[in-house]
Amino acid sequence: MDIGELFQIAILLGFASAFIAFLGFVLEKDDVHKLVLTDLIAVLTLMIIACVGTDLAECLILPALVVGVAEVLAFSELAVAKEKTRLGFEEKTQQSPLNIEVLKTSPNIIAIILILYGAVLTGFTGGAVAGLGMLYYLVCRWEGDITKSFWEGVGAVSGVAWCLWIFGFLLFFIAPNLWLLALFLAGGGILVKVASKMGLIGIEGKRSFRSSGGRT
Amino acid sequence: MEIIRTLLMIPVAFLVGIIFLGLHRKIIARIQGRPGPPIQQELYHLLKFFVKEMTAPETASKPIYFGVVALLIGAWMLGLTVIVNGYNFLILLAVFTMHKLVEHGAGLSSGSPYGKFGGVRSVYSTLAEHPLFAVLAIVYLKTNSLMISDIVAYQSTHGPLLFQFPLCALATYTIMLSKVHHSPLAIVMAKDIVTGYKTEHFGVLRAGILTGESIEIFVLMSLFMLVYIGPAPLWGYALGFILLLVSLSFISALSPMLAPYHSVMFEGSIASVAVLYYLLKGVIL
Amino acid sequence: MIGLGESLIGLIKLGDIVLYLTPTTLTLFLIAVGFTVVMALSRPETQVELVFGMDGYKKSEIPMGEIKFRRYMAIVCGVATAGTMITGDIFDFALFVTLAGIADVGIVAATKKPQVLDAAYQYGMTLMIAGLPLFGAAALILGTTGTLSLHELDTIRVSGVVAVLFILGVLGEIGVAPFYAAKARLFRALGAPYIIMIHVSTLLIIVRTVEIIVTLL
Repeated sequence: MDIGELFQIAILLGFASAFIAFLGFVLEKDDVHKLVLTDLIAVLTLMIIACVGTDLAECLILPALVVGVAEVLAFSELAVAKEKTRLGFEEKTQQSPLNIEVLKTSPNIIAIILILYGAVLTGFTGGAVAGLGMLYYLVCRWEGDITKSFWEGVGAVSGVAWCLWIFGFLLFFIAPNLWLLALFLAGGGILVKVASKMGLIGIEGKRSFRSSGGRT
Repeated sequence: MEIIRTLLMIPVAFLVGIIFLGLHRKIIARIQGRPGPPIQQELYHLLKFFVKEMTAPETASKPIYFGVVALLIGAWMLGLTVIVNGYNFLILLAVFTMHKLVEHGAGLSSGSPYGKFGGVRSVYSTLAEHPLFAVLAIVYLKTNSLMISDIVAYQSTHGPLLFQFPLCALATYTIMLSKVHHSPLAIVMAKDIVTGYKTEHFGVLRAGILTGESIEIFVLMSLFMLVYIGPAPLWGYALGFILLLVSLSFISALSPMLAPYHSVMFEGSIASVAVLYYLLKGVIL
Repeated sequence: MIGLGESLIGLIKLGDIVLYLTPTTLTLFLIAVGFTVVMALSRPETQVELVFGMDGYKKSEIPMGEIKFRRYMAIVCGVATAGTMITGDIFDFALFVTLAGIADVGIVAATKKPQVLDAAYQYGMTLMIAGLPLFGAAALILGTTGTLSLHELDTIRVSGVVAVLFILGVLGEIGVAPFYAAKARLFRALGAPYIIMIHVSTLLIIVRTVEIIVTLL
């Protein structure tokens, strides 16, 4: 099929789905459900941008996504404030909003898959994915306690990994024939650095998420 | 050179504008069978206000309360610069925007409920007045430029745009109608809310507002003449100005004040009819 | 030649994003910046309300915490508006418009009145779904012409459907001043400086949109 024709069909499909989403929006009366439907429309916006299919379109998706997420966050906060004002509700609870059962009973396999996949990816993205797995495990399932030396040890590993990353980059310029070593040094270093930092965030997060006093 | 020309035009525009405000009152009075004030009455008002003291209500938000008056005069002087030197029409649209902001700001800054109503009416009349003003941009389809000098030059070879774009001319005329006193569309300064957004501006500030309004009426009339009639001798412009003013005064004197929503709907219908007509004409032809 | 027959003051080439200055955009930019500065510096007014049934009146003032939040939102709104005026890129324009829209809702939503919050929420829904025509139009422009720069789009003609989509998007994003002014006391609420910022952003963006539409067609 011709690429121009493909573009037209994709755009038409995008607008048709948007039309269906709009119909749902018109029929829906509940405010929270409306918010969910607007998020659907935001996703369709991303799809229409993605239809362009060039590298420029790739750059445009990220800001559009950020705008969509920011809007959903802002308006869900607004919805909460609105309901609180309407009901005359005062903030009396001490419960952390993330202290929920689903997190405690979630399967460990998700964390393992994320860490393995991150290790395969390497680099910054891999570090982020693996770190997410660690963060997930530590926040949800880990029951242990940390010592000062453990905390500092992880910090040191992270620092050393960062040095490896910089050294890998230097090696590119100093000895270009060792590019494979340099690549692995840089990729592995940033993986370990990002993942360990996110792990530390997870340990910190565990405390505040699971404690009963998130806010006072 | 452009600066000197603009500076020379400021007193002319001001005097013509303020005399026209008086003439407007006079014509309305004669239609209604009253003798009416002398034509130079508004000028007397202005001189009287200039020697009064300048104070602000205790409740006002001071920077805006004083700022709007300077802004109104500044905005319409910028508008005069655009008209005199034939700059881009869009700058004039920005000037009009600033005028709406002045109406809103003057109304809201004082804390008075009458001013607030004037300001709120100004905001929702924007819904119709901005499209009405922007409709003028349709002439770009023929002239390929929105520079006022280019539009005038186009008309010197192709004849007045009044006959080519009558609905656009009607829209611009409606804008002028909504800006003169006692008109059926002047909801922002209607009698039922005292004088609308100007209620709390007195003394020197009122004189400033009057100055801005005089330049405004000159700029709007010049815009209409330049964009829809094109190049003409000086006496032609003078005749055109007076014809425009007399027609505006007749409408103001003979028609009742519209309710705010009706006024917005009336203006909005003219704008949408004009846009739809030229849109369809552009698609079909 | 660019921008409706005007002469160009300057051209700033930053890779794909070509910023350009014409007398119109410069004027609009200066108006936006000036308004933002004045509004950020001024304190809100005290509203005087008559008391029913007796010969008295009461003053209502805004609490300080609310003033701070609304002033911050008004400054964000002003910066976004100034960005909208000066940008030379359709997509940047769309992003700035969205930011101005969110800031508009933020200014309104700081009030603690249920009916005002409700109106702000409903308006927020409109704002979100208007993102589709706005960004959709930008994507269509990119897809059909291969560029997002207004500087280049001046010479390329874009389909009328795209222009209509674009207008719909912009009106939905920043339509709070004209469409919601009569609703739910949004504009009758206290805080003149911040509420005027909503009006400033809306009107100036409409002016710039007219310029862009004329450039596109």
